[in-house]
Amino acid sequence: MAAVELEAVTKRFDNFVAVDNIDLEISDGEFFSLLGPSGCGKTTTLRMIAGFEFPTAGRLSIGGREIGLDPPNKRPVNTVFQNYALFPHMNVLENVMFGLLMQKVPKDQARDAAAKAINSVKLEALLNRKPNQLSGGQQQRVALARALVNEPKVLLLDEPLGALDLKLRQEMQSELKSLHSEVGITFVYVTHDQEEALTMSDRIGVMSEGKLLQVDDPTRIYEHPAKRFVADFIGEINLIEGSVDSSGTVRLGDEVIACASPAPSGSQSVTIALRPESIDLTVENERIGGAMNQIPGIVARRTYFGDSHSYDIETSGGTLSIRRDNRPLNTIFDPGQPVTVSWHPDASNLLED
Amino acid sequence: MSQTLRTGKWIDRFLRLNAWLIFAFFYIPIFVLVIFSFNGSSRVTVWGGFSTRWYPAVFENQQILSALKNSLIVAGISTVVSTILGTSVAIAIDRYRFKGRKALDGAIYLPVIIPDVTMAVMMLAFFAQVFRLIDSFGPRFQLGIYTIAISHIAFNISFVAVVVKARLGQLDPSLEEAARDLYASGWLAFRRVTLPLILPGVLAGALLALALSLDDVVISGFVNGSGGTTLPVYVFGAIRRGVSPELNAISTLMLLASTVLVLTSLFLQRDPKSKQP
Repeated sequence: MAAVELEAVTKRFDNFVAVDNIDLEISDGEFFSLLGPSGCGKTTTLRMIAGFEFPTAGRLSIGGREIGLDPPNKRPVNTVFQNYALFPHMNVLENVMFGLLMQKVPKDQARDAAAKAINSVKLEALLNRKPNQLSGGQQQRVALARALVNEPKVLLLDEPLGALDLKLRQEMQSELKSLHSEVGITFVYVTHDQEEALTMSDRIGVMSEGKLLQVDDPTRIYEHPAKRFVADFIGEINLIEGSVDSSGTVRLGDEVIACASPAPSGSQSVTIALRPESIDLTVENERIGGAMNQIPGIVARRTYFGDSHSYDIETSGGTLSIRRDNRPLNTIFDPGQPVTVSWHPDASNLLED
Repeated sequence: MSQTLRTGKWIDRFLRLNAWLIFAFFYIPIFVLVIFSFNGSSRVTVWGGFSTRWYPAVFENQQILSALKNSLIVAGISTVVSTILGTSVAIAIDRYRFKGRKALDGAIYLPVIIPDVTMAVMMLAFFAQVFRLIDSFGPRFQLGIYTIAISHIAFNISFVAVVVKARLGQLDPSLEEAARDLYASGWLAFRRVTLPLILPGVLAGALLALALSLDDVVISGFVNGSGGTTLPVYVFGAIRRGVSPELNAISTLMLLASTVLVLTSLFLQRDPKSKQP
C-alpha cells in the first residue's frame, strides 16, 4: 500500500504555481527524496503532506486515506524542520514529550516513551538541557526523537542536515539511513544536495519549477537521466548536440556513435549526455576492444584536482570534459596532444528537454 | 588611515562634552524637583532645610488620594483591556493574511504619532456623538473615569501591539507549525508555545501601557468630566494655583513609579538571545 499518494496535486500562491500537477506514489517503508534547486516546489510539496499548506487542486492521501484538508494535528505524520524548531522554553525531555502529551498519553507513560526515544539518539545525558545549550548535531537528534517518539506513518524531513558542517553532515547521513532501516517508517526527505539524495534514498524524485521531472532509484537518476534538467542538476555532465539522419543514426560531428536508447523518430538533432568519468582517454589511434564509441580529439586543457585530472578535449562534435583518476602508471596527456576518446554506448543518454 | 582618525581629536572632545551636556539637560530639572520635594520650607523657591514632611502630607490630602484611586482604576482597566486587544491585533497582523492587513499594520502606529491634543479632541467629539445616540434610547451617560479608561485603551492598544509585534517578529514561525505537527490544536499551540515565548513582550507592552495611562494628562483632562480627576490632572490643576512642595513630592513619587515601569518594560524587551551567559 502506498504510504503517501499525490494525484494531480497543484498548489498555487496567487498567480505563482509552486507545485504543478504532480502524481506521486511513495511506498510503505521507503526512503524517498525530493531533490531540486530552491524554489522548485519540493518544500511546498512536503508542507502539503504535513498539512501546513493545502492543495489548490488534486487529491492527497496518507496510508490510503484522503487527508487533503485535515489540519496538521490530525495527520499521522511528523516533521523534522530545517532549523529543527525545538521549543526554546522547554528542555530536551519536555520537547520530546510534547507530541505524546498533546495526544493525551498519560504523563508517566509519555515520560518513559520520551526517555526511550532520547536514549535511541544517545542524548540520555542531556535530558534537562535547553535547546540553546545543545550543539547543532544534538539539536538535530532531539528533533528526530521528538518526531519519531510519536511513531508516525510517515516522517517528513525538510533539509534537516543543511545547517550542519560537512563532517557532521556525513555522519548524520549514515545515522539517518540506519535509523530508517531500524524504525521501518516511511521517510520523505527534501534536499537540494544531490549527494545526500544519492547516498541515502531508495528512490529520488527530481523537481524543477513545480514539476516532478523524473522518479527513479539513485543509479538510474544518475546514470540514465531522462530530462536535460535532471542530467544537468545532478553531478557534472557533458551535454552536446548530435545530429540524426533519416535512418535514425546518431552522429557527433562527423563520427557515428551508439547510444543507450534509439533516437526519437523524426528528430533531426538530439542532446547527448555523457558523464566526465565514464569517458576514457587513450593515445591517438590506439583502438580498444568491444563495442565502444571511439572518436578522435585533441587535448585543449588539463586541470589538476589532486585525486584526478580533468581534461577538455576538442572533437569534431564539440568540447568534451573528461575526468580521469590519478592512479600510478596512468598516462598523463599534454595540451595539444591528439587522443582517442572512447565510452560505452550505455553511457551516452539521449535527453528530452 | 590612522592619520584621518587622529584629526578627529577635537570632534572627539566635542562629542564627549555634548554627551555630558545632554545628560545635564535631562537630569538637572529632575534633580531640582527631587531636591525641592525635601524642602522644609513651604515656599518653593526658598530652601528651608531638609525635611520629609511633604511625603506624609501627600497621603493625608483627600483630593490627592481620590485622584490616585481614579488613576489606579483607569490604569488597571485600560492596561488589562489594551494588553489583550493589542496582543490579539499584533498576532493577527503577524500571522494571518487577510484583506486590509497592510492598512491595519500602518494604522496601528497612528495613535502613537498623532498629538495628544488631537487624540483628546477626537475622543471628546466621539463621546459626544455616542452619548447623543445612547441618550435617545433612555439612559443618560456622562463623562467620567470610564470615558478616560476607554480613551486610554484607545491609544494603549497601539503601544502594546507595536511592542508585541516586535517580539513576534523575532519568533520563528516554524515553532508554531512544529506544535501543530505534534498534534496540538490551534489553541493549544498558542497556549503552550507561542504565548510563553511572546510573554516578555506582552508584559513589556502592559507595563508601557500602565506607565502611559498613569502619566497621561492631556487626554484625561479633556474627557474626565466631574469627579473623574486622575492624579496627573489634579497636579496640572493644582500647579495653576502655584507650585507647592507637596506637588514636588507627588511628582517625585510619580517619577519613581514610571521609571520603575519603563525600566522593567525595557528589561523585558531585551533580545532573548543576549540572555545567554
